[in-house]
Amino acid sequence: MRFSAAISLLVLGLLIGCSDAPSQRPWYVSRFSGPERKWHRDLGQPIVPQKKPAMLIYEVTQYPGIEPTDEQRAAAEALRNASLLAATQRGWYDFETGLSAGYAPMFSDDVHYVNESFVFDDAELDPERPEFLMYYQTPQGMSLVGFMFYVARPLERGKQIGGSLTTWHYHVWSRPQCLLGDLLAVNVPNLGGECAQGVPRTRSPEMLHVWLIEHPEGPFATRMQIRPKLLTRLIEQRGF
Amino acid sequence: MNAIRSVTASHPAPLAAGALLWMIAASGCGETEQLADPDLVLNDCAPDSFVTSPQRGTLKIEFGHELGHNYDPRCARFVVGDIIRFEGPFTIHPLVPGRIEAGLPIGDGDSNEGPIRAVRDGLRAEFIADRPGRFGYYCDLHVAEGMMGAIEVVAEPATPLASRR
Repeated sequence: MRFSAAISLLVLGLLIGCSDAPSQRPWYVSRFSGPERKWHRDLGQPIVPQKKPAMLIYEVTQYPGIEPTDEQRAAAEALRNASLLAATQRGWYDFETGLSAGYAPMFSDDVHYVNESFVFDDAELDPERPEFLMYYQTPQGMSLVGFMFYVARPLERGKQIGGSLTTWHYHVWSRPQCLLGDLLAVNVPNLGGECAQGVPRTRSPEMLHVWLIEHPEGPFATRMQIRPKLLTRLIEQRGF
Repeated sequence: MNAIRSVTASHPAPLAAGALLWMIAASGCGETEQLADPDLVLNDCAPDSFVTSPQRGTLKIEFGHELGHNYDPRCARFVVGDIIRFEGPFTIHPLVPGRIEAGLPIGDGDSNEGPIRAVRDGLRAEFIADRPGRFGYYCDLHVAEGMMGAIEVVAEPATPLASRR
């Protein structure tokens, strides 16, 4: 088992390294609100926070409407397989094991459990060190449904190792949140606009989901919302 | 004038102690969104999708916890005088009244058109369905993912729906 995990990680590393050089590709951004995307060139200008609602989601890509290459598909598959394997080997499907591994509830969130030491390391897209585990509450207890990866540094672009399959996203808040290390939301500013910890920001870092269930919108879907009956079915399909 | 009928603590956090269970009777400020357009799809709620409580009086709309980023029922029908009860963690899923189009709220501020009022703290809120109409609501943080719904308030239990079709 451990040998196969090592092989998966090695393949993943090679594929990440072999991905086409995307640095010259322009970036595109689309507000996330439904199945359709309206991609606009992302000129790097700061997004002015909206008045309403309190939070919006923006997806970013260098591959708008572009079919992934075979290499990108392989890289995406390797990332997901390595994530599935790591979750099993580390025992993170067990909620208590996840907590004891250093994951704790994220500020103002009941799904994302963050490992601060992984947020502030330099690892990126490392299935052995996912910054977040996503646990959904179910009638059977807390169920691990996916990982969420962060970029390593604020305003860094997420690596689209799977091309358009691996679309990253970020959040824009109408009111600032206090980001520890300019990365991790830990509170909101006081009435004077100051943060006891972190710095006030209205934009989150970029992040990428890797689903460990068969998410109807794909293994890297941005959408967190899954109807309860569907979620139950997807967890049952997984078999544990 | 909004009449706050009762406030009952149901949240463990001391900060939230004063604002936990609301019962608000809406005031009549603003225009109601009347049932003029029977085909109106409001916040993903089609006219034939509204769920009626089997018992008159109160219908509970739950969210969060095991429901995740969903309201259940998402589209609920009430009779004037009924109690609209929301149950879930408002801190994580702040409730805002309003209509959503293309993923964005319509208007500049929270809607005052219907009985629902904004709630950002606590675990339970109740409002009186005091006027007929359809009124939308959404989660201020997760509306981008589709966490929204609507209520329909009818004057009488059965006849209004039949007569409108």
